[in-house]
Amino acid sequence: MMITHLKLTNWKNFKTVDVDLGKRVFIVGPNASGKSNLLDALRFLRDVAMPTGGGLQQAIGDRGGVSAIRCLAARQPSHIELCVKLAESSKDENPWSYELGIEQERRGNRRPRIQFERVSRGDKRLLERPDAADEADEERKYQTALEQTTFNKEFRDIAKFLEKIEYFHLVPQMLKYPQAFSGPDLPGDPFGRGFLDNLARVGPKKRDASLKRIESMLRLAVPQLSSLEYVEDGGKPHLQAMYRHWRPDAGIQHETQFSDGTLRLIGLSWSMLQGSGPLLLEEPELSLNYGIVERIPGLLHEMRKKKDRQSFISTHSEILVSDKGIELDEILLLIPNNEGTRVIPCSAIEDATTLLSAGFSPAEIVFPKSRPESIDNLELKF
Amino acid sequence: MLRMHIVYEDAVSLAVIERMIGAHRDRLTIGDHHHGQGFGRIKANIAKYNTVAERLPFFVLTDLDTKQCAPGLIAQWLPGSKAPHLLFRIAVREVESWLLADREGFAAYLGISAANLPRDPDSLLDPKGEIFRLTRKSRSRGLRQDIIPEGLASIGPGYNDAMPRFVRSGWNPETARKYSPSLDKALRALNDYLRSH
Repeated sequence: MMITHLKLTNWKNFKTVDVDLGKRVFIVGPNASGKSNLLDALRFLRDVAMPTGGGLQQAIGDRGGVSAIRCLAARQPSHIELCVKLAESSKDENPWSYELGIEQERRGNRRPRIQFERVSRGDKRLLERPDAADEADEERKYQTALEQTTFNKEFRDIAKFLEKIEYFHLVPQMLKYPQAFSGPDLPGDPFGRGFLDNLARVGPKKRDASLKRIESMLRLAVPQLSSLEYVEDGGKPHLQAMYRHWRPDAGIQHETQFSDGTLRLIGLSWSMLQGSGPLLLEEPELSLNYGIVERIPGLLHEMRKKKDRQSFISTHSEILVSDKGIELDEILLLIPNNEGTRVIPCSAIEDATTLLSAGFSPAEIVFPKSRPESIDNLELKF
Repeated sequence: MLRMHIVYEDAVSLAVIERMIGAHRDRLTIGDHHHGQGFGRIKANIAKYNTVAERLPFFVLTDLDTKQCAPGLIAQWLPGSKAPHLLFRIAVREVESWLLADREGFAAYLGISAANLPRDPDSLLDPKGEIFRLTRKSRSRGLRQDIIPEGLASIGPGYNDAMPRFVRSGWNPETARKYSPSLDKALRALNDYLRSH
């Protein structure tokens, strides 16, 4: 299954978004245009659908409340709306659609509640809320049907699918200096603070198989590295790598000594190999060498082919988007303005197909459009 | 051992250079990799490569694409004289023609009959298009998904994996040179360079 269409109203930077989505979605735009917020709309649906530790109230609460989510440019209507179409492929004749409208109580605790919630498959409407029961008992409006396994029997497939959305952005410092990061865990461990604990939880067979694959890739990317394995030391999980060194015993390193790039690459490969739902990657190019970055689109294609997983990638990397195998409609361009950010597929850019047929790479078409005009005068007054 | 710096356009031409230089691994190793990012940037930088090649061996591989002829392109890009250590080779029309020229090898990779492959790949105006046409005949769904573009893109989403894989493991330049004069000239140029240095 994949997300074939996304529609948002008043979501963070976006007053409206209405775009088709392909198997890979590359998100490009200037700083603060809302790339992460676009990914967050999908994470939000995941958080709502999660049966434990999730749900509407939690998902909104984790994001600082309705007022922190609602687009600053929002006027009327002022509610927040997230709609997705889900299908087996772009040719699926019976696509699912899930629509959620969220409003805030006008007084009292100003809790978020559903304004509407609809599910259909093809032409068939499976859920239409608020219904009579909601009107009879207002308290019901504080929970979505998506999060309630007792209610979502008819559309549990989409709840299960949304639940599998995975966002992974391993921040190397979280692993290197765990003592510096306290506070409660975030849903889905997005920044990899619990990466080692997650490794510990995966069954040894599966873990070793994945680490073997990562090891063979790492040996190409980091030629000095000769092995990567999972070890437990005093009950604590660790990654251990062996580096070729002129002193044979000197080459053992634990994850706290790995380079940022090595950790990022391990996290990136792990998230591609594990999991089965759509994968959201935030600037996967960070800390990685050119030669690796240019392989990312191909790896994501491979992941789609072998594991039927869709991917969403926010990026500032021209190298990543220069792969000529990327279709223009796989790239979403974010264009900020005073009325919120607009999202358009790169194929809608004027002259895009002319540029493409003249031999321009997708990066050469899209990046000139994502450069803020004022950047020419960039300075920092010292 | 001679270190040769290389300038290439894309993943396929990189793999081709690696094979060409790899055939002389007793004397040659690859030095720095310069990604030209398509012929535009190679053209912009060719004068710099030429200057450096007064002293250091440089191998530049580019496509002829829609230009008239290879000598014409060289004259246009390098109006002065060519430096002694510059090997500037142009694939007619694209490096893909050189791959198609290994008729048996590429047919085997796709799992189709070699009779389908062109006898004069250098004369093809759109060698990539020919590769897509042939790949459509392949029974391998994976290769079709990789190589053929779904929309308007110039190559398929896994082209930069699938084609270099062929170059590394299936392509035989010695067979291919029989059908591609342009490849034959490039291989001879490398041989001649090594003989005189």
